[in-house]
Amino acid sequence: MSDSHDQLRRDVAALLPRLRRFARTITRHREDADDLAQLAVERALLRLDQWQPGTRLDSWMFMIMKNAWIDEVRSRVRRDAIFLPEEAGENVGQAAGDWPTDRQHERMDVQRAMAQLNDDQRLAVGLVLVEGLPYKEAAEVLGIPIGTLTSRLARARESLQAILSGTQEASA
Amino acid sequence: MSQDKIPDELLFAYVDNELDDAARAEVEAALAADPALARRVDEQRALRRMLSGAFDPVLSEPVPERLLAATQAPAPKARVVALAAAREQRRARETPAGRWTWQHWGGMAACLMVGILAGRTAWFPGAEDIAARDGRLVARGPLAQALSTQLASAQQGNAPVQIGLSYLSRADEYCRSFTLPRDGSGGLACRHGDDWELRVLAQDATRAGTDGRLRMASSSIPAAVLKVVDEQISGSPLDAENERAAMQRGWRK
Repeated sequence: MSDSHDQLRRDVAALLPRLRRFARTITRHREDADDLAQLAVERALLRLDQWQPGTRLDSWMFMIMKNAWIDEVRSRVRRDAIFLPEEAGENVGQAAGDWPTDRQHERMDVQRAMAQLNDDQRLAVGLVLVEGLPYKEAAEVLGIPIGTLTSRLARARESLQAILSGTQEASA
Repeated sequence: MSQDKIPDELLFAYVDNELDDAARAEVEAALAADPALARRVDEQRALRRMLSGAFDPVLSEPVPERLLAATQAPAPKARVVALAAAREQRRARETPAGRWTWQHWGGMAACLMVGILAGRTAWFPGAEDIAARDGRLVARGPLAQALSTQLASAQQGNAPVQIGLSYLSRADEYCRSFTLPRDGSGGLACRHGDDWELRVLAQDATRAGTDGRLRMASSSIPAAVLKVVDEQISGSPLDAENERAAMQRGWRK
């Protein structure tokens, strides 16, 4: 492996926290999300030569992750994870014990709401609203026109808003 | 300015910081004049905050060792060459087998429950598909039939047995991976004499005990199977032409 690839590996390693976060927006269970991130890293390392310097490494990794999700991983995720209690799912972060209960509940509500979106919407939300990619970049990752991206985002926002305002009323 | 002059997507683009100065000024003027519109913006900002609140804590979790290790794994040079060659071959022939990406499955074992030849077949409902013979498990019935006669390059997507990779093992036997989509199981069989010996049977643990409505994608070879394929394959998987030729020779070299 050349020096440039060594540097690229370090850059990929530095992205791991974000790759895990993006994976968590797509698939809720912690282990599934990490499986997805790991598969993406393994695939990326096999084709580092295809990485174009000057383009965003995070977008490239997200694209590999999106493809891995669609081709391979989504058919085997723990579908029952949505119904598992908090401690069995991915929900409890390291710091969660210190969190106020209402914030933990909000966190679970948001993740449940995300789980009700379809794949296309979840990917759009994950890239733009969580990862903060510009529309143009996110559309390229997903291989869709910007107009398609923005209409998926709009529908996803409406759904999330509807689900979350419903849960807030229900718990109020 | 009334709300109907600011379409939702423009409002969302404003919240997402996607507007140029002129468009932003236009939206801001509209917001100042229309409290209902301003509330919509507030709601959208709140949604973004909630999403951050839900997912950002992942960033401060320690990264699992296996992910760090994956970024540091030595480059599998020989294998990359073999894969590149296999990819080229597949691309050149445009066989449907091109979808198999079994090389990348190492990390997925956590999903799986495996019974390797230990007679652990309670979950394996296809009793008509398996027989014990001289202490070995061999395929029979529809499974044996599919292994002998079904080509991965020409199979029906709804066939009860889906053939995956076919290849020549290091022991010079023809081996074929298969999945039984109806119960989410899969395995590996190698031609030994006149039998298809079952070398691995595995089931996706997430599917165990389900009622069969959840079907595996036909491409989902269980990781345990792929691991064995990886260990015993000699060269590349057979392409469509060689698969057909091997079948015509009755799976003998």
